[in-house]
Amino acid sequence: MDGSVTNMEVDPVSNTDGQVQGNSTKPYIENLYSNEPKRCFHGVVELKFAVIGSERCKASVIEQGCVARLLQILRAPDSGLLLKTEVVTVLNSLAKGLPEHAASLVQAGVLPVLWEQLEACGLCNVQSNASQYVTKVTFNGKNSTTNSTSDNTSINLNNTNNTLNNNSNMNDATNNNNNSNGCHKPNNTEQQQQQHKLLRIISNYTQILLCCLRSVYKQGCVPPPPSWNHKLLSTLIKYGYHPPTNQECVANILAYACKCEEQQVQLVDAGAGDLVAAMLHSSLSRVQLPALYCCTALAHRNQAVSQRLCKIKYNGVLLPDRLVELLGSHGDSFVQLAAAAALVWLHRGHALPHSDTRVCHKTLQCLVRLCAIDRPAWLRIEAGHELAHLTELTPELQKVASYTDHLISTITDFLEYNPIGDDPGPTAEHLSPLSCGKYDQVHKFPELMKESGLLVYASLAANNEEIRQKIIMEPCVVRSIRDALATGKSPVKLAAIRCLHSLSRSVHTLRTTFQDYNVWKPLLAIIQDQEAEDEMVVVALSTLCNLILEFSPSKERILEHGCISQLCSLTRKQNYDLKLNSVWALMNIAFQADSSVKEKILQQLGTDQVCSLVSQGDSPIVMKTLGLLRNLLSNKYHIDNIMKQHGSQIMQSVILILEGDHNTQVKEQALCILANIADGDQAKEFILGSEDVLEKLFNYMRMPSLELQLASTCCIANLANIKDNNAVDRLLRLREMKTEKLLDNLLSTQDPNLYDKVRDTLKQFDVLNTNSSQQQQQTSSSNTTVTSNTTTTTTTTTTNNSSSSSSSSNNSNGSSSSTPASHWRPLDQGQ
Amino acid sequence: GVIGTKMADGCGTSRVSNVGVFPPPDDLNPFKTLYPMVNEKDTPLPRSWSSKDKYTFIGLSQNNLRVHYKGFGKTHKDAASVRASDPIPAACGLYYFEIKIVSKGRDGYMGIGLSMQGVSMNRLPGWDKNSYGYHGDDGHSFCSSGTGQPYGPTFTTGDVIGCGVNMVDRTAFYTKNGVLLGTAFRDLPNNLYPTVGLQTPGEVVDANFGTSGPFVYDLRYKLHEVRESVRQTILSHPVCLPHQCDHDGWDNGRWTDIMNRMVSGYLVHHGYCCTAEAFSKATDMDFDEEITSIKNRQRISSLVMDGNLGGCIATVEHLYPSLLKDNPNLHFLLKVRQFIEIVKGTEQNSAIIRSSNGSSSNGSNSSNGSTSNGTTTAVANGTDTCDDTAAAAANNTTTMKTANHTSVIQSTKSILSSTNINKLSRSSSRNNNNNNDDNNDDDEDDEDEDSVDDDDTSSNSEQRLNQLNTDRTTRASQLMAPLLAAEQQQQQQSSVRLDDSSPPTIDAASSASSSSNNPRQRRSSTSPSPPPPPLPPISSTTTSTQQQQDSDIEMEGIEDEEDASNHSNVSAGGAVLHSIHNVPLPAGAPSGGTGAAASGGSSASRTMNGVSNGFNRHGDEEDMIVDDDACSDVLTTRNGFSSSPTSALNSSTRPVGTHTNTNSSSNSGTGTARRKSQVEKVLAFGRELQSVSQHLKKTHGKNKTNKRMLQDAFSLLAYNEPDNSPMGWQLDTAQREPVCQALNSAILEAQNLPSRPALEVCASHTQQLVSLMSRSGLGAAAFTHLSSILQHDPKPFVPENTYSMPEGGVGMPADGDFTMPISISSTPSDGGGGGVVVGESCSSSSSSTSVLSLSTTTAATTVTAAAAASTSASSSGSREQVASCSSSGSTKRDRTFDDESSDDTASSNPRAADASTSSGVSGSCSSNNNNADG
Repeated sequence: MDGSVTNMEVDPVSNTDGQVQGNSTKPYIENLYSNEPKRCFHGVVELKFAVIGSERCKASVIEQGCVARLLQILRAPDSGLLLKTEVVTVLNSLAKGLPEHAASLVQAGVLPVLWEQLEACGLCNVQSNASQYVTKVTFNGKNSTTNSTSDNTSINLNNTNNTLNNNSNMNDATNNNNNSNGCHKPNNTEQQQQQHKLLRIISNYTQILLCCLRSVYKQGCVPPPPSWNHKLLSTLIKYGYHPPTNQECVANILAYACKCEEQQVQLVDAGAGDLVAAMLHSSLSRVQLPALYCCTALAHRNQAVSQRLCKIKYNGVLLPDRLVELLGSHGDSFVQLAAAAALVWLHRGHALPHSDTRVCHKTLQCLVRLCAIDRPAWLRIEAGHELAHLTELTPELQKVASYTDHLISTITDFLEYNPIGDDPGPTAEHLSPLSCGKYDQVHKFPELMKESGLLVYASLAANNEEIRQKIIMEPCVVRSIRDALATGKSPVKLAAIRCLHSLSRSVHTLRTTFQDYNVWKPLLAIIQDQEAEDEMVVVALSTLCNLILEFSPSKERILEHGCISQLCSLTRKQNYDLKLNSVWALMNIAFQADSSVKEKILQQLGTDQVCSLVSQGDSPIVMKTLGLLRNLLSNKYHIDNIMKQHGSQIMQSVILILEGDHNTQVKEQALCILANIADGDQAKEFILGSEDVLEKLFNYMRMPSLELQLASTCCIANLANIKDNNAVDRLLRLREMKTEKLLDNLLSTQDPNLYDKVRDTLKQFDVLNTNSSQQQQQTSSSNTTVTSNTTTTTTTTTTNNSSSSSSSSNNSNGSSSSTPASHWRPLDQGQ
Repeated sequence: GVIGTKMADGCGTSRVSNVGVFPPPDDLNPFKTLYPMVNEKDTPLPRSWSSKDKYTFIGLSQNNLRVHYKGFGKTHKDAASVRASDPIPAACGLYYFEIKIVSKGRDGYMGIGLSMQGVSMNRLPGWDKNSYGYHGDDGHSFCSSGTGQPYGPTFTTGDVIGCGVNMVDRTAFYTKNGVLLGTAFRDLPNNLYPTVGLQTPGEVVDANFGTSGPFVYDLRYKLHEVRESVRQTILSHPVCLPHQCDHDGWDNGRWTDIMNRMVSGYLVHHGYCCTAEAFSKATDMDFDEEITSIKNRQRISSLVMDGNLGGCIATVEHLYPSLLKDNPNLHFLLKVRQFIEIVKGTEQNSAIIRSSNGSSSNGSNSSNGSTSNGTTTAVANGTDTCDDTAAAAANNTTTMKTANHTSVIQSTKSILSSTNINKLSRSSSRNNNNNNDDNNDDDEDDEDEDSVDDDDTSSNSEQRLNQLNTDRTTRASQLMAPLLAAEQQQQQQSSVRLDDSSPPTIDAASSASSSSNNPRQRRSSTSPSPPPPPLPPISSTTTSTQQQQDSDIEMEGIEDEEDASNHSNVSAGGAVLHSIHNVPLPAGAPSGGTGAAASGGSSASRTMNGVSNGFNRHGDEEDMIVDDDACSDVLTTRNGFSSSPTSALNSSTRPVGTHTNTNSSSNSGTGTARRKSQVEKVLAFGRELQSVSQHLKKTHGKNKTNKRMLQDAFSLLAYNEPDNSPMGWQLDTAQREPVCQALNSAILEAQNLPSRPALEVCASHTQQLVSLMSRSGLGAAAFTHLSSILQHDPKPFVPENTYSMPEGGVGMPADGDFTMPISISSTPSDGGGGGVVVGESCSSSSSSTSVLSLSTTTAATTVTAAAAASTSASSSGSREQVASCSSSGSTKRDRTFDDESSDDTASSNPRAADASTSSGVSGSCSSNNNNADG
């Protein structure tokens, strides 16, 4: 109450002062630097009034370097709490200006000081009698009391002085209290009153500290704190429980500050989860909302934390259940949205399964509702993004979403959004930390709408052909994708490519719509654009992967436009996804390609690069590289050709894999390459000629893994193929190596495939015994090759499955769905 | 099944108040919560499949809820459908049912949807005109056409398909396994039946029309959506006065004027005269009626509401001598009610006493039978002081109320809970007494202390009594209540009049005597002014200390009677009454000595004053014809015990010693004696009633309502416990309201004033319009609740004042972050007067404040409801009619009132609410209404 009164009365005073002084705000700045606490105090107060609401003034104050002085006052051990409160109030005002202002505050080192002060307050609160802290609470002693009545030029000063007097009195009293520690004073109630007053001052101070921190963090310019001090965090979280102002501030600070996994864990360790759960039960939406954002920030792409959050109870209600309550239609729609977002990330953190009704009914339907046409544009945009996140990875959710309340046709409206009348943008408070500042310009809304809509389609179309057809049937979809690719700014373009990527998994679409629209052109342009963002290139590449599949009519045209060299150069990029996708694309190109194409690939890529790719520790890239090799070494003629030129390097790579510490799938791929090599006429020598390689093969046959046994047996079978030249020599060599015995051992297998293969291979050796009836054996040998084909095909399928799943876990790290879907097997082998 | 329960659990915790889980599990009548506005008498809801309206290939089982196919299923010509038993009533608003696919059979050609009656049943729903369906085999929707449109997913065994019909915008949607599929059909006609069609063998589906547990789909979001849209339509509908539509800006002044007139009219009508005065002062408006007249009406109403019909009739005859003569039917109505009150035990038939005491009954009290709070007492006092008539009269009123309590058969709980109230009322009663008699104060204090000692004995005796008493005795004692109360009232009066200080010695006896009766009796005697408690029907056994103490106060009165014993006119009947009162005195009770006996005698004599007079008046009509079984029964009993009055009289006049003897020896006799005397009284009155009825018949011809009323009232006598009987509803205090209403209206009419306040006309208009809407098939009727629209809350941003200002001069930054607390109390300029009025009237009567806010809001709603009705165009004629008594400024205004009185409404006055709603219903017959319909 006092405050507001002073506010009113001071303003005219300072104004007149300002007018008299003319150009600047100097007098109080001089006061600010005064060593006399009282003058300094007045300086700060006047500064406060000058700064409020005036961006120009804020800028000039910051320019003049006042912040440093303010921090100095804050740090000074003898500044009183009231002064400090004023100082922080000024800082808060400054922080609420333009983002630049906040940034310069951060640069000036405001944050550490604020944290430090907050911690001190925590200490002070802990010892509620605050004995040793008391001396610091007010101006230290005499000055203020003596001066209090002397120089009052305005009512305002009187006012302040009154309170100063009070405080110094209190100071005295509490000092008395200190002196008489232990013995009971008669004027106990008075002391209690003063104690109470003191506590209130402290709590006001902490409140304004939190406000200031919140303001700084909300500007979004704060680098994540280098290290969170656990004690500090606990203090902060402790403050977050009581008055709603604090709740709001703390929730905002946490929501904005929590950006990486380490912080998420630290925060939850310090009790942020419980705090959030408590705050969610507040009835005020201005507390609920930041709490929801905080919850989202905690759960964002963090499995462990998500799972912990889901187990938190407050008042006997589980946190996710409370979130579901907040989804209810009776609340504000932005609260619903925020609650849905939190649930989305809990789901993405594998804390809530997709079959949970809270996810597949409540969250999904809430988001679909929020996408409806009668909602404000910004809300629809946000809801669309969350919907895309929710359904991105789960085919079941994609399916449910596709038929929920005509979502697909609702989203078409996103693509052709025309702002009718004035569509109100969101209030700043309603926006999540992630999207703050996004909706400042209304004219960007159509773009944002389009982006959001395309992302929803991209997620929905990821796995289900039926949904893809439904989407592609919407006339505006292809049109807007094309427009976005042609003219769009990068986020829309990216969304368009993502959507294209999902849609490109449909054979039907590839052969019809995509062909009609020449979709490959802009994609190729993006890949060849040196300045394009990596992320966009990655998505474009993975779309291209599908477009250059063997049955895609676009393949020829793409190859004509010289994408191979570009792809090969992309494999040399640092970006992991770029490497992976370009190798993948090459692998797809190499499948059943002409020898000229294969030549070109090997030429452009270089066997060194192959070696370096293979020597990468990471299996997906290694897998794809090996797949590429397999595809290159596919038909007999090509095998011999290639092996003639690059045999030793390729063998080196394969041996590297066989000797290296890799998982079965990789080894299997390597063995498959060997099998392919063994299929060649001259190339066989690369294996038979090296005892080392043969030993390895035999070794793998002895291994307990069925896949490895199968692959190595395949290789032996190809070696032993009597159809090829010099079969008898090779068989003899194999017999020499006691291959038959090994094969005999394998006959005990349960697996029918392996059994057949082993038996057929053993039959080849019969040639050595009876040189007669060659015809028969030839037919049987052709059978063998056929089976070998089928088995390898199945193995590739499994490999691709695993690789795509691992790439989807990459997706969750922000690199997006970058790889073709599982059944988009880039068919990489054959004869 | 499983999903359903899960959903229910999920929703259970959320705070959607008025809908709840949908439908709530274990709800006996789920339709009441699902479709509250549907009148099932006119428009029954579909509960099962119709066993007649189906094709022969359809088989039904499990209470006609399961459908299976039993045809050949070869071509689409073998398709078969079944309709539900009834069409969907429009008043459902949002209708929903679910079909569970038990088995998809051979091909799963199943259609779920809606069709009108008469559409061929040899088809799947959707194929023909006026039929609509969603088919499982292809997921298409069929809208009166053989070719479907792609709509949703296919469905098969295990799926649960829901079909919802939005009766407001006439659309239909489907759900699959709890997922909303979105709108399927638009522009649906009325009178659609839920329909399901099957086509291949083995197809089996189960239906849930809301009766077989919760739905899989959570309907609340949809409901919320529809409700909101209806509300928005209503709120955004422009309302204008006739002849004003051509103006651009509304004449707010005139609106305000109309609103004020309505409010003032309501206040005047119901006799809230202080509030009305304050209101008219603030709004510069006059009301037509004179204040004294208002007060008289108010007094009469409160007499009726307290159940004191005798007093009421007397007062009416006194104030409006010709009224009852001119309205014989009304007179008869009052009499019948009086009879009911006698049976109930409220009525004491003491009108004559009062008139003999020289002052008319003075019931200027706005309290009502069912609320019991301190404020009502305050009101009573307030109004009493307003009144110029004698203070003694005021006292009389309060005792009248006492009588009212007596009748109320309470349970212990309610007694205990009303303890505080008792205290309150007691203190106020004291004040009341103090007005007349300053000496009383000391005595009461003494008695309070004494009474503590009596606690044990009295409770003992009480228990014993309860053991001994059989059903009949209990009942008898119940019947006796009014008489006793009357007697005590007499005592009270005399104490006031005689200014006697009383020694506390007699208290024990007297309190014991009171405790020997039912607790309610004690209670009644205790609190001379009105804490009417809630009315649970069964008498209780335990005693509360509070009552005990209270009874002491009253004893003082008894004791005073000693001196007042010079009242003569002791008649036998009266003695009986009193002796009955005293007889059950337990032997162990501390003897109150002569005082009690004497007081008993004297009070009896006084009581008899009234009773005998009453008898004298009608006593000669012995030969009345009672065609009721009950009545004749009673008659015989009466004859059987004709001798007992004398003995009872003897015992009562004897000193205490003998008195106790009598008691211990003849407990059973007491019961019969009691019953008998009560019965006698009731019968006497009954005869009188009968004769009045016959007289009426003679002069005015037959009147079915009157006959019916009389029969119902007499039937009460047939039951041992009338409260629990099928006719027991008559005993409900709420039944006094129509009587009160009728009387009030008649009085006003006699004065050439409107018999109904404009507000009520308005409210009943609204009701009519809403029911008209539902009759003409407008689904919005389901969401046009008067009350729900009144709760319109545009959610003004109310910042919590959490930013406490730091000490001295440390202002908070006003940087857009801190919102200064906004005072909400600011009233719009034209409503400012109103706000003041409320403030004023708050001080005088809180109940009237709530009425005020209620009235304003009701008025506002009428407008909105009318608007809703008129949007639906079918009743456009009525719109202007209603609009003429309402205003556009209404919303603004009533919010002001709401804010002001929101605190008070919490403790608001159910009677007021009841009254206005009941008037809304019952008052719908007024002439205005006809206009509305026409």
